[in-house]
Amino acid sequence: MKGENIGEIVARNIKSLREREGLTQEQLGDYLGISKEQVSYIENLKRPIDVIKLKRVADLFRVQVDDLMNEKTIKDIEIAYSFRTDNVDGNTLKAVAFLNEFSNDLLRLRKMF
Amino acid sequence: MNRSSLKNKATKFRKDLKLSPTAPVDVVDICKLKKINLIFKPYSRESFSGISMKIDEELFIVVNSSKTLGHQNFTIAHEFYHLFYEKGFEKSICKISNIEEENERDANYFAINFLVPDNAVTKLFGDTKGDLKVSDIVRFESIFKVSHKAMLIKLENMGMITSEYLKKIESGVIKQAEEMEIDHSLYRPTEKLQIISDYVMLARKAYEADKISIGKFEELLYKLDLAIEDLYSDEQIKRDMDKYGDV
Repeated sequence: MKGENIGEIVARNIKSLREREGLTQEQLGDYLGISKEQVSYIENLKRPIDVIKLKRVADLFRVQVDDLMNEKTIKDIEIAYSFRTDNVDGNTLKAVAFLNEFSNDLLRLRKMF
Repeated sequence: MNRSSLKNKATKFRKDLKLSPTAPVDVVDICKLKKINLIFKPYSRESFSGISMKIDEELFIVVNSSKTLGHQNFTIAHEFYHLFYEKGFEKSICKISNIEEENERDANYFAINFLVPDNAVTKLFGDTKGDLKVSDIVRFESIFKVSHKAMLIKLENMGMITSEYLKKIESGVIKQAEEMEIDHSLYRPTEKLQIISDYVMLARKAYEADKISIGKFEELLYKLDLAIEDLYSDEQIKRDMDKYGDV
């Protein structure tokens, strides 16, 4: 969208990924260690997201931080998640992010040989 | 999926792995055999049971080690169902499991029948229908390494115990195991971090072949709470330091 700054693009991408994967602001907040109100502030441009949290959002959805800052809304993510279950808490999302990072590293290492 | 079809899949899975139709199985060994990257990591007792993921033909299972050991073993067998039998698991997919949830029935039914086949139960208890002794049940669990809850459900399904009796004996299992001097680690969380994968070996190989820097190597290990010192002997580190200086 013309005239958008990076902050707006990031906010839009986070909201769109979260909604597409069926996560609530509360669940994403639990994962990031912030309240659902703070997630809402980030998504509505009332507060910027710091770099560490931005990296954690990228890890959770298996995208690059650069993708979150890209003007084009992220259309395809590499993997189909099943977040639409009960009891998906911050710890569950931490485990998914860990697995994403671990599997990405492993696949990259494997391609070296 | 209907129950008999799930039971057949569990029997076939044992057969394909060339396992005895009635003996206890080691789910970790099966992961090694099937080249599944298996990660035990503590999260919290109230959180998820396990996660399975398939990407680029690579298989992964994460087990929440804050759950009891019996629950963890059951979770791994449950994830086998997702990875090998669930429809829609052909492409890149990540599935979160809470084995207590209603919609996980198929994977749970497969898991209990894979871990404890009907024949194993009848072999030990015969055709005795009625209320088995708690001590016999606890001993059976310790052999098959499954949780008390899973074993009671299995026995109830087979009509070996009544639901009233199940309710009566479902608690107090640790005390019972203690009295029988049976190892009760099965009923406790392990809280361990353990990775069963060739990840570390590949990282080391990449570093030694100069495909990644020492900084990257350290970063890859750090993610698993490991340090270079954990992989090399003191002599090797000293030799490298003499050669390259203290970096």
